[in-house]
Amino acid sequence: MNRKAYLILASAICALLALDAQAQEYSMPDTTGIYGERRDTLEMAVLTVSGGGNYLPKGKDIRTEVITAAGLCKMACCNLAESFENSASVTVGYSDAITGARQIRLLGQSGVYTQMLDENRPAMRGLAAPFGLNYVPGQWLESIQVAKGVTSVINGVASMTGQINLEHRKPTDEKPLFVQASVMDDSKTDFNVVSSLQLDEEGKWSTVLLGHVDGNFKTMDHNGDGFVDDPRQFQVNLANRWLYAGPTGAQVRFGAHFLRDSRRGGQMAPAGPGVWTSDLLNQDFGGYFKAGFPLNEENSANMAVVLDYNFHRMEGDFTTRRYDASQHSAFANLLYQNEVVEQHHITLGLSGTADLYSEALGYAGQAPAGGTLAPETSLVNVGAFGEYTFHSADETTFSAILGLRTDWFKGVGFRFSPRLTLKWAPSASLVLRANGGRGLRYSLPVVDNFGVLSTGKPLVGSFMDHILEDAWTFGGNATWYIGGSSSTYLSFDYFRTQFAEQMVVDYDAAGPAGPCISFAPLSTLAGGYSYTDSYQLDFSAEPVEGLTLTLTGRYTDARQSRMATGVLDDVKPMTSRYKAVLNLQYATHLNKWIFDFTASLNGPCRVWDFMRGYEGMYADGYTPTYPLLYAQVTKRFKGVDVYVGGENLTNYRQHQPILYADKPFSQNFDASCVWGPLMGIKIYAGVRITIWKTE
Amino acid sequence: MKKILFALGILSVALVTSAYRPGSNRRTVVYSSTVECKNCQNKVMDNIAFEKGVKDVAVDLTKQTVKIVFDDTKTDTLTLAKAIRKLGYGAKVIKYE
Repeated sequence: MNRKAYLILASAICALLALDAQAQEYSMPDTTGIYGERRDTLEMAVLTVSGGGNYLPKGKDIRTEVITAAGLCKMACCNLAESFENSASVTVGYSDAITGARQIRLLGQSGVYTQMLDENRPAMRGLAAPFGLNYVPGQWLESIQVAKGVTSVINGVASMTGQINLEHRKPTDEKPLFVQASVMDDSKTDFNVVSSLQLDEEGKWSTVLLGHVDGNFKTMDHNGDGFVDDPRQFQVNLANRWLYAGPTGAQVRFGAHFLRDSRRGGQMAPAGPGVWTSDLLNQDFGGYFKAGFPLNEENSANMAVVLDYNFHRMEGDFTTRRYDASQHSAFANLLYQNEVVEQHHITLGLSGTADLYSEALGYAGQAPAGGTLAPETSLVNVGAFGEYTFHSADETTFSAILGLRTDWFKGVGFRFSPRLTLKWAPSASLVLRANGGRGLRYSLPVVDNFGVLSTGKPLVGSFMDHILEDAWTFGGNATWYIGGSSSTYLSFDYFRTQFAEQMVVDYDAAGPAGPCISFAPLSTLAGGYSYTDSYQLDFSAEPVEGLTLTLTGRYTDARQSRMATGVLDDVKPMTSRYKAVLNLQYATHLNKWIFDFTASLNGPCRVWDFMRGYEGMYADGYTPTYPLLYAQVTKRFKGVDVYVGGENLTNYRQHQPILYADKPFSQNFDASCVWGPLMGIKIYAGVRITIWKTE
Repeated sequence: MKKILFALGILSVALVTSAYRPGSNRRTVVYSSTVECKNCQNKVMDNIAFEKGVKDVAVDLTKQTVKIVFDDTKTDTLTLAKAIRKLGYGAKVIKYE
């Protein structure tokens, strides 16, 4: 054995000997609350920085991955988009190489088919979707729950592939001040302030103020294509949330938020004639009101009402085209819940959404008003639902949830959506789950495919039509909790999403005037079909105290027939075949030092046909497989965490992400062909300061 | 590569030595407290762990106790009780060894 081998062996032995941390037993709370108004908030844990991060809780009826506060601290996690880097379930990518818009994929489908919830209220709908992930500061969050498959009918049936619920820091947190600041070597700077205040001795009134500012002060062009790698950007984000907890169990929550985000991308040269730039301004504000009232002393029956309003305005100037849009959005939900007899629980309700859109899409030399292709559009649906839940007497062995919902969709009519979830735990160490059902949503072709605005190709077909997309998702999950432990498990899941109707977008279309991007409903394509099969394996273990290991692999087979290629090659473009993620975390005794390491291997995507052979790339029709490495070290002091880390440590960058960057005014120009990292290695440092409430 | 391995070795040795320092001055105290929720648990863990002389902390929500292992040359049970009370929870010694 040579000296290097001895050194490795000695280091490993010493490291193992050092792992004598006394592990604290953190049993995680149920924070998803997918099946109803949460009643556990006041007693909910706020897991502070400690071992662990992502995990699959045993108790959930639906296969749910929880990203804890600890998981959100493993990386820079400046915003929600970056919070999924150590998850294989959710893949995050850029919509284009210009705007910085991020989009997720769950079960191999675009994130628009995943319902986003903000503490169980639908969020990030419509215009807010393309940048919505950038508009949730990671440091505002307490945890994220990713539920796969069809979920409850209570919040509508827009969730086709799953639901992502965000739990923010609570008004009841005994933290009058939390401050976080971080800076990256590319000048990206984040600043967050959160203040949770309990306003009376009885604990009736409490509020949380959340503030966020981020921006970058420098732009770079590492790949020399003349375009900035990341747009110059500045965001201000404010929110205020209130909780009133009445003495009889009634709870009222309300809040408001405001956001303004401006970003400028495009060519490095100063704006002027012959220079391609993109200027985007997004403004968003809104408020919500939630109230829950027990109808009897045991709280076995209660009523809840949820009201939400949001306004979003987007002004986008992409030099060769312009997109201006606004959206008034309202959501209302009235629920009645009753535990009819022990083990049998029923929820009945009425809910609906109304979105009033004003969209104007104009082309070069055409004023948006003159070139308006769509006047105001209102998309409305109202539905009635019932959900029956049965739990076995011990509340863990068996559960069944049957949800039935009928919605009236404006312009379409009535649609019926059944959903069924089954969970069976034949032993303390094995949990089996199955679920299936229908999902429905209106398409928003331009917003759902935001990258089309960063191309030179004209849009043809149904790109301003809001068809009702219709999908069925079925799947199951088996999790073996080794030795009955909740932190050591092996899990497998499979889900299929099959579309009955979908807006099919084809970047390979050819029109009389050359290449174009076509939009067509799946039902208009002869023999058209669209489906995704997704398989995932998760392994998590704590081999020694303080050391957590998670290993996840996902394989996706996404198929969609398209107009250009018919059914001969139906592999859905720009959808990665697989992803594997390894995460290691070691926390020293009392978590005073925390070391995080994440490695991911990202599989190939089939490229669009027009990309094949461009500059000698993609000869086989697929993108290359690439690795990503992340590392972070956190040192904790009393009330202060200091961390330094690095992202994309292999410095892997997609080569030439913008096609025909030298001809931005040509029809072939295309910045939407993004499949890999746009930015190379990034080093960052940050600090988190927490002041706890004291006597 | 050798430098990285050497640094890792040094770090590991440092961790070992910090974890296994002589324990002759170590005492264990258990307080009966009013901790009753996960938030309380986290608050105690996040603060008491960084008090001078504290080697270990465990909060038991079902028994409503806070167990602390500490170095009696650096702190004492009164100081620790005061630190717990400052967080808003009671602290009455029920066991000391």
